[in-house]
Amino acid sequence: MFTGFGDFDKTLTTFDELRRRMDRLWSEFDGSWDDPRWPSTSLASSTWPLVNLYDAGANLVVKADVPGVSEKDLQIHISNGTLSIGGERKSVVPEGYTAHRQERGEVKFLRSFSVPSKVDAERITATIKDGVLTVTMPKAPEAQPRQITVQAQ
Amino acid sequence: MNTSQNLAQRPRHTTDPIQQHATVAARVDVFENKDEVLLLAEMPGATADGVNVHLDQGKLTISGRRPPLDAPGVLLAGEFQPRDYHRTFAIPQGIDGAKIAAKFVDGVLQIHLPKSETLKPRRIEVKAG
Repeated sequence: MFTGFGDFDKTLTTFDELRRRMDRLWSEFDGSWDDPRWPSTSLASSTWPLVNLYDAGANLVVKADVPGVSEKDLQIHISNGTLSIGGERKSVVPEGYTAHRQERGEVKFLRSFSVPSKVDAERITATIKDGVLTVTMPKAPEAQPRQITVQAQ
Repeated sequence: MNTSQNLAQRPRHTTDPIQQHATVAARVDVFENKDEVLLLAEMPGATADGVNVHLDQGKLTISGRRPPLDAPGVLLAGEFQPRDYHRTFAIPQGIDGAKIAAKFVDGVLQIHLPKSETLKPRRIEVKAG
């Protein structure tokens, strides 16, 4: 009669184990879809490159890993406080070679970000070094950090 | 007594900041033609002097270190964490280890592994007897 409960318990235990494994999976996953341990999915190709935004006092700095992309393949625009970074990296087999393995896929990307403070669009600079794109956006004078002195009365 | 004085006198925040990067496998393309095997490995953010190519007993190990603390300011929004790179390959027999050449361009490590003479395709003339 009570064997039924035993089976029920067993089922619950199985579910608990499943949940534990899923939790572990998520805790190992650090939110970056660019992780080679995680097979690339459609999401990975739609979110490339991953971008970090820094506040460096007088500037806002955007950094993105764009290995194999050269400066002529990149277009960067800013309008109305929206920064957009677009470009393309072709996956070509060099002339005369045959491919054994191609993990570096072809990417065509366009990402837009709203810039969290007013920036001086004229003085934005973008550099690319060792496969890392750095966009430096000087803040507009009214958005610059300012020290306010307290006056004793 | 002495120790406690030292402790008290030690200026604060003198330790080196520690930042540990996780290490991931670099993504690679492998190509081959009749003269060589060409390996391209993505290592964005690594610097040329932080990139190492090492051949030992038929195993080619590549690694790339990103300079620590290259954040230009306070992180407002982050989608990725900078990572170091590492990967090992078994090299087929017949690669001339002495002639391996490597270059680091646009965050991509390019390694040319020339085949030794014995491995190159060769046409053998058939003579009429």
